[in-house]
Amino acid sequence: MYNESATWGISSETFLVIYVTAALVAVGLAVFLRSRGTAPAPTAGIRLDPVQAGMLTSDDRAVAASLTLLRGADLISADGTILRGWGVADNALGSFTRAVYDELSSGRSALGNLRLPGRLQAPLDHLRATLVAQGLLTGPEQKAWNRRATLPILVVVAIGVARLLAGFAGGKPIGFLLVAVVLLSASRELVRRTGRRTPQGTAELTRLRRTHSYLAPRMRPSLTAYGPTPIALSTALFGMGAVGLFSPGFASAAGISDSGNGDGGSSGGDSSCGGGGGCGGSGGCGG
Amino acid sequence: MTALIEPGVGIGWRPEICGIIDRLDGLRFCEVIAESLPVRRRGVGVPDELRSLGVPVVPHGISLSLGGADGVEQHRIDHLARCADALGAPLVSEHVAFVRAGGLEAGHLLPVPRSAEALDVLVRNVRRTQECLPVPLAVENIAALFDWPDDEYSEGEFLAELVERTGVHLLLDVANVYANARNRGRDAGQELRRLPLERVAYCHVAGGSERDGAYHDTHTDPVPDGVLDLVRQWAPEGPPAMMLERDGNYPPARELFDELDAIADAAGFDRVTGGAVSSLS
Repeated sequence: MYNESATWGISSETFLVIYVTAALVAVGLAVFLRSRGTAPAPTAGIRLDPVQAGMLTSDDRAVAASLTLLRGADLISADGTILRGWGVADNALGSFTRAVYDELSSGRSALGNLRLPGRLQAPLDHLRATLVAQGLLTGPEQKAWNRRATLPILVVVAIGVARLLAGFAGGKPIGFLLVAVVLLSASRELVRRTGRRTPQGTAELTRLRRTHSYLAPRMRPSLTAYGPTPIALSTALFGMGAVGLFSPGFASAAGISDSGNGDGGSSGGDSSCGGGGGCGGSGGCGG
Repeated sequence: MTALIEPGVGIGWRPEICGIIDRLDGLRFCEVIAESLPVRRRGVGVPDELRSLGVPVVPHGISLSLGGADGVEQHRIDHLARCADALGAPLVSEHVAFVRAGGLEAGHLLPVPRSAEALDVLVRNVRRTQECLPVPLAVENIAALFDWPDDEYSEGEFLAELVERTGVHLLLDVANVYANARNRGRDAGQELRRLPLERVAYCHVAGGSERDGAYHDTHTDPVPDGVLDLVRQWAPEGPPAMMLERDGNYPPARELFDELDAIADAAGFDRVTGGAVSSLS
């Protein structure tokens, strides 16, 4: 097996077989270790408010839910102008929404300003920490754990790099090994990647979307019937489509990079006064 | 005769308020606009939010144009039939009206002249529709601000003749009886009693408002006392199932529940909002 002319005395073919095997074992081990990561146990009976529910999707969505609450409470106008002072009763909207209100009233940020979430970094961090503690969002500890879990891959990559350098210096062919090292490095990034939500967080978001499907924009939920808080929850879960039904200008102005899984559009079934012939006797719905 | 729908309180299912309707534990039935159910490769699509209610659902057509001299279009009857199948509906309902003529869509339910000739057209269209539906058909009286000069029957006589010749059921819109009587200066109670009430499968109760000296059956305003009074007058005789028909300008959930309770109280039915009201607090 020892080959004097080969790098490290191991022929390229033999090393490649051993290396690929070791790489597969390292990836498997890393995935296993990653899955053993300890997220906080999810808190039982969590009842998320619209802002927290929006935070499950993105920081922007949390801010959008907050803006919807402010608009629904007539604290701000469609263009984000402050309409009235914050009263004691408004405390029910939550501290984060208060922070958004304060930021708008300070005049430093305008509605829909892309930097609005940036200026709210401290309240967003606090909000995130709450959801991390509830086991719904991934936190720094899980990110660090996932990074450490990829150590076996890192070791095999290091061996591969060393062999590449030695082979290159000895004028040996290194093409296949180079490809293997690159692929292994890419797999490390995949294993290391930490999603926004924990599996529990994703399950909670899915549950909320299912149980509140009546708030999806395709259902054209009525603001007057449900009230502002459910409409803010609609924003949190499905984007600003429902808000756009009663305040299109506000929805477009506040639609701060309204990304994430939404249920946009306002299609869906016609209401009663729809369909072919229309409804209504002379002068109104007389059917 | 077994009732097609057990007496009790129902509501017109509208997507805009379906999350509120879902809270009504005691709801006896729903009605959905047939044209709002999307056509699928096989049948029609029924929203999960409607299907999960677990109550009888009546598809309510608004575009068949039963009173149209052009005849009813087969694809519209087929859609109603598919809706009935998809919903497992106990019956299907439509209007005693026409909505198109000569290729023009009116966009409204227009009153049929109460003449012998128009009755023949209506009977022909109703019979043809009945033949193609898997369940019974009920037809609804509409509100109209005017009468045709060639009317030969009263509304009661006209509907009774229609029922007699076709065996069709009635969907009685109490609010339309009220609106027509009020706009013509007649006694709504007497008008109600002139109708063939024994053939009523279920009733609509809706709100309206007065504008430019005429009462309009808008479905976007609260139910007036006059409409509830009609229901009260009927209550001792054991009225059929009654449903609130609200089509827009939705009030807060609590007001909707109050309207449902008012209908239940007027008709002598059990209230359907018990659990729903407590869910608001």
